[in-house]
Amino acid sequence: MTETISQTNENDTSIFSCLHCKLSPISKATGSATFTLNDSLCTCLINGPGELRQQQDAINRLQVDITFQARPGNNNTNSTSTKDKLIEQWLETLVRSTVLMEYYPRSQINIVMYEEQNLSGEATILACLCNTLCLTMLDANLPMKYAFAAVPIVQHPTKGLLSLPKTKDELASTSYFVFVFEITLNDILATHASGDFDMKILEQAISIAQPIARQIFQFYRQELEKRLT
Amino acid sequence: MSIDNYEELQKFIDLNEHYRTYLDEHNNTRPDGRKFHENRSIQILKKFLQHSYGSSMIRFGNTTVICSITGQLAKPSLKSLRSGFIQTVVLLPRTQAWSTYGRRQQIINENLTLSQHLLDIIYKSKLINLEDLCIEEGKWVWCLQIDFQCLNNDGNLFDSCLLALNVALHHTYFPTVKIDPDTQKPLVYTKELKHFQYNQQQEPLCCTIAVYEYEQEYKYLIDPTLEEENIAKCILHYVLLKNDQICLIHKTSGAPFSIDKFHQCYSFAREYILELRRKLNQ
Repeated sequence: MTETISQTNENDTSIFSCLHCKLSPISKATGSATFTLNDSLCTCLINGPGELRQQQDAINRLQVDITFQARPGNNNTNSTSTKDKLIEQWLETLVRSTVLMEYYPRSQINIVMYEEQNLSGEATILACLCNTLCLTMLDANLPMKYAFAAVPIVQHPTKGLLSLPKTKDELASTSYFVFVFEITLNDILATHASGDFDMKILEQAISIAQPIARQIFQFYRQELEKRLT
Repeated sequence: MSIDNYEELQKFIDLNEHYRTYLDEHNNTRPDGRKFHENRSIQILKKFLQHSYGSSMIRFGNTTVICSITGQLAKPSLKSLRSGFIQTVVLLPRTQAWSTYGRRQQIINENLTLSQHLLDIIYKSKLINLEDLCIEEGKWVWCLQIDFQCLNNDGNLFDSCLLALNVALHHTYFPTVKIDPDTQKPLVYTKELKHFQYNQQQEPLCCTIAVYEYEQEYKYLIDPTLEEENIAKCILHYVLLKNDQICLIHKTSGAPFSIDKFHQCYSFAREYILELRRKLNQ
């Protein structure tokens, strides 16, 4: 198994060809965004700080309520599977740590995420969801400590570590890593890595992912500038 | 929950403040007397349920988890005629709902995420091969039902569930099933038990680290209790296999990490899991 860092003919423009975004597709919501990463598409909408419905829970902080709805029809039932719940909980910690919760006591925000299309495996959809979430929060003008971006990396048995993998490569890979970077120091905010690897490969993966995260932040900036002009 | 003395009152009002004052007074010890890198006492009980094929009970301090493995016969799906099914279900005690958490939905979510984590680990580490669960191709397969009953949740459920799973699988016996050639129905011989074949080489074990920020630096609390999980900035799960390869790293958001911190946590995780393996093999 080759463990070379594959610089797969990546110049700046080819990263941006994998990413597409549309801000505020849903006009009634406080903030919404649609984001495409290779073959995965997600939409997310936020209904801004509003009245708290339940009596319990933090009275001096914001209450966050995330719902994730996967593509109906993949599994035979309509209810959210345990995999989706895992994603929901993980994203909830992400929101809790970025949004300045002390600014909105006794309020609640509702976040709904839809997975519209996912042809590849778990890494791309997780990264797509994180990025959609960040763009939606930026679109809704929620006060955040930092912006974050997620990068999917897979370990292919022959090609080594690939970042932002194409569908074919991802379906053939053995392990995957999703790193969520934050914009200030480019440190890792959250990870989900699964498969069979050791710390050297993890280190390599992080070093590949960091410059890509910077390019994703550049992409956010471009999109927001387009909107403000 | 009694709030008789000053300490309990302080814990009830602001857990974070209580921890900070405790760490100020006693350097390098947590309120339950352990150092940061120490784990709680572990007790293992094997094969104590009479109706399940395999069972175990694990105690990490106060956290108690019972793992029970049963099987049912099922028809395989048309997509893969040789593979059986595995289903992991984690049940958290409903009795704890109102006193500690305050929100039942949160507990149900935690059940589901833990169940999914365990299922992922079983598949990714190839602990149980689905083909091993086949009785007759296309006709009958085993549907393995792995239940985790948590009797008392005092933090660190992930580690205890995974250890319970390993111990239970070690001593699981399945009855032999023969297909009656005339009626094509399965005959289950409950007295002829044979040891369940699974991949004993991989022994995925988890280390949960709660990251707590104290005086501008991160303290890594290994084997956190429930209170420590609540005040932690973020929680890290490292699942390692027998050859020290990593099977799963799951980090929740809250404290930004650089690469060297991952290395640090990995070294803690390795020592901790080495001790767990020693306990497991006794």
